Amino acid sequence: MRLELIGLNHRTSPIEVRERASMSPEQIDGALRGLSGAPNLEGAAILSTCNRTELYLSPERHFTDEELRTLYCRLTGLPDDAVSPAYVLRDNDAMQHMLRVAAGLDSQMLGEVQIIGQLKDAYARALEAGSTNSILNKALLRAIEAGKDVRNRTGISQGAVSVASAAVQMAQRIFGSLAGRRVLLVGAGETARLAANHLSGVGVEDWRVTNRTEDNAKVVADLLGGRVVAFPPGPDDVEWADLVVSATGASEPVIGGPEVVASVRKRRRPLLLLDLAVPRDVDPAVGKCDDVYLYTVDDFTELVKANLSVREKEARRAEQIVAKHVEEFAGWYRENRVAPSIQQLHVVLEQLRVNEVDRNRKRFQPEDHDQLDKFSKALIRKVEGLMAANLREASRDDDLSLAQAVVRATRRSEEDEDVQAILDRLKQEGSH
Amino acid sequence: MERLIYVVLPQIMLLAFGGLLGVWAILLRRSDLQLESGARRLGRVGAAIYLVWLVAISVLQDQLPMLNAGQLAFFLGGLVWFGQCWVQRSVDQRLFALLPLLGVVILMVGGVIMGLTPDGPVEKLLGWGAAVHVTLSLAGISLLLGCGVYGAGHVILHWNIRRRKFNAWFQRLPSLGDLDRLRRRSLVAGWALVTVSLISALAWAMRQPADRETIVSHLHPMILLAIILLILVLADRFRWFSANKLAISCLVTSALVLALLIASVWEIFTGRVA
Repeated sequence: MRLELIGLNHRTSPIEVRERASMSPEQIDGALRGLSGAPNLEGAAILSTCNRTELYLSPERHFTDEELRTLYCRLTGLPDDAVSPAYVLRDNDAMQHMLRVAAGLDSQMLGEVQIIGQLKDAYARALEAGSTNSILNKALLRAIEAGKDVRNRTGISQGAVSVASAAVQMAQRIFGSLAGRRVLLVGAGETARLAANHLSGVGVEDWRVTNRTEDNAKVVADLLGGRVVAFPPGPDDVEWADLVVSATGASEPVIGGPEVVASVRKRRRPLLLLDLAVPRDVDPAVGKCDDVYLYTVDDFTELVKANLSVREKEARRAEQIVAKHVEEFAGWYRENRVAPSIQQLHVVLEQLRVNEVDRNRKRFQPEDHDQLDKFSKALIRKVEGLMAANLREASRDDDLSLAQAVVRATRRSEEDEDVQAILDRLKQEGSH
Repeated sequence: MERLIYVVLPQIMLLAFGGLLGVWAILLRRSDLQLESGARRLGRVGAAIYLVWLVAISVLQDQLPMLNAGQLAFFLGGLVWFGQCWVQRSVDQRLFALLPLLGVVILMVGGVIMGLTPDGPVEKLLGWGAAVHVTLSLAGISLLLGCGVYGAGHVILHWNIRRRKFNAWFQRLPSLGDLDRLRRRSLVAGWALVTVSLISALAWAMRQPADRETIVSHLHPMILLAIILLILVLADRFRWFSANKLAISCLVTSALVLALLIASVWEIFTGRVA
């Protein structure tokens, strides 16, 4: 298989090295343009994210490790010693790695979903730069497809893995859709804003914001399109809300007291209190009321741990799906090795057909010429189809001698360079 | 023909729904979109066979399948399936494809074991009055059984969330909001069907002076059930209790409904009060 890759990721290199290896979209475009037409190289693509910079190549014959490291240094600008831990993978191993990356199995956060988009970008850039060939095209498309397949068929990307997203997951476990839910945001610091961003991203639009410093509350309320209410929040505000997110720096609870407890008891609708502050903002007595769910930072840490453990279990099944895709790609590749031979066969047979039809055309009535063309094309198609099927089948079984025989049998002169190139390629493939 | 309707088709349906149960059990453990779409198709095939069987058996015996306990169980099984498809039409929840299916398969197995061929016509179950009353009752009961399942789901998820148990129930049950909505929808629809069924039975009794007393006495537990359901519907509408308490009430009512159903069937076919 003519596929190889070299790369650095979070496992091989510290962040300082990864930062330097990272390439901007403009740098990638420039590098791919530079690689187009390079000797021994038919296809190239570059994936560069915060955790990895990988170079995918489809050469005419494999590069040596040293050649690949030199190329990597040239493209990323890293010194030789920084590239020494880089991994070099070839053929099925390279394909398996690409698929594992797409599936999120090689990510720092197991099952993360952004990588699929990043891989799509890498493919689009390579296409735009004209630096891919049929093998790399197929490999990248297969990787994207496998990434989606793994996410559709396993739970590897399910469940929140950060405190803020765990808070959203908990809200969704209680309310289902969060669109139309009313949220009271207590605090205007970084934690409160982060949680608000996550909630906003899942459709929450109705906000009340409160903070000890009213100006800060106003800034956040303007961002969210909500309104500012007095601090600390009163029973009316708590009764109004479906969800309360509290993250202040107060040393005493800001939500509590008999009046709040009474108003919460009266509402008879579910109320989720997300207390993200340390020390806690919500009096535990409020959480004891019916239909009230009080969650603190520690609870979310537990939820994140549980979600990660589910993802790890799902990873085993994801690996099986990846293995299946690798096998299918290898099957496609084995069949595709004889594509140039089939093309050569087609060119020769078509040329013979056209010549013969032209030579014999005068023997037919003019109104029969169309039929003659149709008949000759159908005949050639049948012969070609039968031979192509047999060539592919033999190639699947790693027998390239039939393809070589066909190419030789259709050669019109010893000096035919195109034919010689096909024969050389077949020989190379056979030796792999 | 009789063999086809009383034996072959019911066994084919049992195979289809049993297979469907197996597929959903697999889907509960691992997601597979292709398998899921296959399961949906198999569900539609099962429902189509059931409808064909329902029409055929009704034409053959000139009455809906309610002439013995086996037929009633089988009839109820089909209604449970249609009821859950209707109630869950906008909710994609694997666990709640599985649980009603389990009920469907149990009822259908019960029907096949008890036998679907009637020993002889039960006079009081012939005629349109019985058909309307029994069909509406069974449809209502199937929804109320579903209501109990959703209530149980709510109680389990509430318990897990309260106690910070992030286990499979926590991950796989629908949200409390969805469970509440499904429970309310099946409760209201179940109550409406039971009430209409009760009214239809009273109308039927008026037209059958000879059997009036028997029919009305048979309706006493149903009147009690309709009242309990009305209270639950009102409690739900005006939020007299917390969502969790309402869910527990629905679960208890659903158990009561099941007991009443068994007692009623016993009474009809043995002539003795259970």
